[in-house]
Amino acid sequence: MKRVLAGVFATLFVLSVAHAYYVRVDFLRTRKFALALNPGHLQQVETVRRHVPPGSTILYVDDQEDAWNMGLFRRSLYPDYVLLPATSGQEIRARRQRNPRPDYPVRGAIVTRRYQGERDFTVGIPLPENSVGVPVDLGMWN
Amino acid sequence: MDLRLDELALAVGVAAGFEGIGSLALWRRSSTPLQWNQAFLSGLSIAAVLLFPLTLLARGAALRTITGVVILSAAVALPLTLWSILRSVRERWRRGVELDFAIVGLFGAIIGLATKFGWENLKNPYAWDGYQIWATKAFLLFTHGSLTHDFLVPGQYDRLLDYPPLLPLYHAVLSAIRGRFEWLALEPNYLIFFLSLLISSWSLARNWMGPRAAMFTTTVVAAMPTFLGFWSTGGYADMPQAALLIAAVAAATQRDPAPGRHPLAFLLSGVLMVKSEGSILVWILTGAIAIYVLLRMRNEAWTWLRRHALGVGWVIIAVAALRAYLAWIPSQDAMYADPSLAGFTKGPLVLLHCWKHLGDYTEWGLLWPCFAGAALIIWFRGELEQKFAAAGVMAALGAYTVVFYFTNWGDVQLHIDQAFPRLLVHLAPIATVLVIASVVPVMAPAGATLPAAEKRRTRRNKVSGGRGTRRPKRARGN
Repeated sequence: MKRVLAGVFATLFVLSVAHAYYVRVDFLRTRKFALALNPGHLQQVETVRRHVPPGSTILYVDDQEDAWNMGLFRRSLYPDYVLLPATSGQEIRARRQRNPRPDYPVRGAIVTRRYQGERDFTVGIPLPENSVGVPVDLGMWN
Repeated sequence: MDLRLDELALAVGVAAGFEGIGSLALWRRSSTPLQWNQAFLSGLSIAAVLLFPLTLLARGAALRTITGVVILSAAVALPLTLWSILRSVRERWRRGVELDFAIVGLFGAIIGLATKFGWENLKNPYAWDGYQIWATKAFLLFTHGSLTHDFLVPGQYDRLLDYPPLLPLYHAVLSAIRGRFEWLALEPNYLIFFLSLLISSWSLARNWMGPRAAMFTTTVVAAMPTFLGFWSTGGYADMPQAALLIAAVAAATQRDPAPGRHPLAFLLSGVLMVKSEGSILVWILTGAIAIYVLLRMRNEAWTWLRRHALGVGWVIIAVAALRAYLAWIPSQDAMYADPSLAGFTKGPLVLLHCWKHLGDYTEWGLLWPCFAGAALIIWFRGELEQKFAAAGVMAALGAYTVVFYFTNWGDVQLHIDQAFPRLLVHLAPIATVLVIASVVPVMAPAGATLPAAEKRRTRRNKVSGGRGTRRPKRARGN
């Protein structure tokens, strides 16, 4: 009786592992995963580096708090730049007037295209498309 | 698909370096996978504990110092270990090997499951924790050459600074040897932790059951990422935390430890250095060990303490190093430090929601209900070590539930949904071993001698001539 029970249990286990194995492998085989640091993002970072001098603070301007996308830029631009968030025109002004890091002057802003708030950049530079991230542009003050 | 074999080879080389450090600390040479695993985890844990003191002493050269030691150690340890393993295999081959086809079949299944883990691990991109926490901490360590007060924004505290440094250290050492930082290079390290988890599961299972049942248990543990999917791969730290925890439990319950120093103290310090929850686990483990020693040794507890003074001292140093690091940041625990939110209604809500996860078939199958049944069987029929292990898992389950009572998240259920299943990953391998260990004596054919019973009998025979530190256990039928 014990042997039969053990056999039934082992068979059920083997079948369920085999099924789960097939499902996972099939999922992995067919699914296209997007890397966090995809080529589109890296091109955007390259453009920002070309236009903004190192040792600057860059603002990440968006209507809403988006920790993931801001976090990607923050990591990609570190340690040459400091990235700080801003969600409104008022906050942009405040960051520029009372920069918490005076040794890193605010010189530019990565602005999401969904941002509808006030802006006063003197130069606007479109950033390359990134199929995964939020569409963004670079704004700068002279 | 890029298999990143160069990174994998480098990760193995770095592991060999840590193994060398561990071997030196344990004062022995590894000749079996179990000994290699214990030495590797011990060496890595020692380096993680020493990282903060080195940060204070050597400033930006802390990582360079550890990397130099790892390279030197790998150069010495790798040939020695390979030679030891080859010699050990040759001796066994000479003595003759009896092939058990059930074991060979299960071993083949484990290789298949581990290969799938490796593939999935390389293919899955990092999600939030893998990228924004673990790889970023390694990046900061690589950039600064030591631990830092700053997390990306200078002068601004970030709660992610609080996370302990063991995993980022491994990643940063690999990057330092390479000379450049690669964000995805955390993944090859994960495969090594997964293999470590399997070796420790085998070791823990062998303490309580025969080789067939132990191999079956290891297969079940190896199958977990197949069932659980994302939590074990994709750069989360919970699987390495589980690997260190089960290694510590296996070492604590090991009946015939290898010659040299006992690895438990080093492994406990490693449990502390992976994730913040490790502190809870170390409290439970040290508490269980203290009660066990008092129960089993009674009048000889003081002798035991004196004999293991170095180990106890090391754990105290590890706790002090972590506390000092948190004070140095300085840490502001923002997530679990708002008791004003706690109320009478929150308690049952937390309890019910956590229980819902424990019983969710789509998440865990029947593991946790089975564990509840196993705990009952162990309570009445199990060995003392099994009782302690089961009680420890239950204490950890309780602690992991209670912490959500103090969360400052407005939506408590959302916090539980995001964090609780991953916390259970720490305990799942031990729970699996206990479930099977509770069933093995029941399923064994009548009159069969189980290894544990066999060992108990041997010990009883030896006890009069032994060191006298263990009281013989009362005979009990299976």
